[in-house]
Amino acid sequence: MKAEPVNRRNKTQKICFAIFGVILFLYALSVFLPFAWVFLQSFRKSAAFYDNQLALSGGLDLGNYAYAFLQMTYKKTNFVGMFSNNVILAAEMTAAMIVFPTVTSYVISKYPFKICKVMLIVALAITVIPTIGSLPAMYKLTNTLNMRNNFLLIWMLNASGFGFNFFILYSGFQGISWTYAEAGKIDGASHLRIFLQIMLPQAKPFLISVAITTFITNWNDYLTAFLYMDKQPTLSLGLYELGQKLLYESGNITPLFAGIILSLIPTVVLFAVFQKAIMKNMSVGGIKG
Amino acid sequence: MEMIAKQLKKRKRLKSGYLFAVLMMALPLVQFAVFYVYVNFNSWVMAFQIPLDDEYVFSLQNFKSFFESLRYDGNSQFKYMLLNTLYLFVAGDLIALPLTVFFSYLFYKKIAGSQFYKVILYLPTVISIVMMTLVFRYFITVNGPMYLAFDKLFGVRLPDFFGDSRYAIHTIMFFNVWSGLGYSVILLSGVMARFPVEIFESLRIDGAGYTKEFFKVVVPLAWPTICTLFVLNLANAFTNFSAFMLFTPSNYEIMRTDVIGYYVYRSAGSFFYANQGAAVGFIVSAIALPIVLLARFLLSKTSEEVTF
Repeated sequence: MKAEPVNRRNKTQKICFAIFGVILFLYALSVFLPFAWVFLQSFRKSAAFYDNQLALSGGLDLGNYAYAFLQMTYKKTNFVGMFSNNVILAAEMTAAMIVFPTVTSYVISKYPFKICKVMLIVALAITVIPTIGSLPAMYKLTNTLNMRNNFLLIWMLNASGFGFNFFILYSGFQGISWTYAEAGKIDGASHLRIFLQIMLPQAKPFLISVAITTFITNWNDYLTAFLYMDKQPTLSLGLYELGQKLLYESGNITPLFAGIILSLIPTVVLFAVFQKAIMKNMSVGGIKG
Repeated sequence: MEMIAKQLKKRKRLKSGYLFAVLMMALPLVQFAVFYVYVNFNSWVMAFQIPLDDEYVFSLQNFKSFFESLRYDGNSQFKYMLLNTLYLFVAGDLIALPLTVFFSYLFYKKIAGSQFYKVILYLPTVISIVMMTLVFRYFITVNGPMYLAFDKLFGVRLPDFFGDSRYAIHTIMFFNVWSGLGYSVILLSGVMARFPVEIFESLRIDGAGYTKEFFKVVVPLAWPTICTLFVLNLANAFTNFSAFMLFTPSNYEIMRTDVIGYYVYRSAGSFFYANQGAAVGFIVSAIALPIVLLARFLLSKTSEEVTF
């Protein structure tokens, strides 16, 4: 019979783990409670909310959601506008952050040219060198190139072939055997065809999981919107500015709660559906460094 | 004859492969040249320029004002920036990191409710930091739910955590540790889950307790990942400013809660301060680079001793 050493504890250990369990529970509660509270309060009428923020009296209604959806605006852009801006920006950034590293990691991992080895070293060096002061120069460049508030050009900012995704995809491509490509070559397939029809289908599983996490990162990204897309606000920028106004100039805050909950839906749904892929991706991507 | 033909064919294939590789890499390399090489180079140039009328002239003024501000006896913005960066390092590496290792160990030992806690820990990593800060700030604000609950339940009046300058910086640091724990715990417990089981079983036969197991086995085995997290946190201290910016009201005179990253960010869109921001970035990069490299070097030496 095989014993389970992990779960068998003596008395002292049991007491210790009970205490640790309480600490962990308190931490989890501190993360969960604020969001649960915002979620519940987002269904309450403003008057009832200000009367007692700790209760749920006054009945539940969807008025805040209707208000957030239709009336809440930031510099002429309403919630629907911010939501669609967010979708567009996150989608194009994700595409850029997948396509470029896919190309570079594929070539560098599969083609044994010297220049490829040099580029691998460059990619590694970039992760080590902290670039702290480059924002002003970047801002200047986006102005010169007319990229600001321009959905057609702004993706170029994130289209780096040598960032974080490069390393995940690089190790992914290294795990794919070149044998099929060799067979394709004998059949006369071009390099492009080998890439598109033989190698990419094999890379699909890890490409999809990287794409999901990249999309969530981009959906949540606020800096691009804050710096470069202020006239095309995304949810982060819009809700942040509204939060500033409502928190410090006092006002009707419950529609903002509804707006926050609405803006969380896409990531929460993505997370719920692709939980396994995301968890795996995080622990794989993290051990490199 | 056949061999020459074969070699020729191979050379041809290699050549077409080279062409393919170059064509594929062309766009990423152009992007890299413009948005990394040029931008960083231009950032250094900007550090040595100041705006004069409508043009920029060479000057060391940006550096002078930085160091003069540091030498100034009273409170100066740059002093706070550097101190807060140091605080950010302490909070990340000396407070959050040990907590991360400890929490990960609890998950590794399959403490009751592990699966449920893991999902909760994921929340801060998938929820936008803007939403996190909005919710957090309202939750602990004066006359907010936590304030009211403490007043009602314990008769305790909580202080104004953000408005009171004595607490503001600690509140932001707390938020950073609190919201950042999830990601690193998931990462580290994922690494621990891959530990070989045999080591622990032989240790148990020797009668070792949890404390011994933790310090003699778990920490050494997880050491390479702990080192990586340490360096990440260290680099993060120089660049992170999200919480500092998002918690600061837009019309607020910022000084005590300023950090380098936020200063550089604020300067970016300004005609007058952009060059000062670039210079501060230049100076801090010059400080950060050797520190980060040294930390990597030292830690890589210690982690090489671990073999399993």
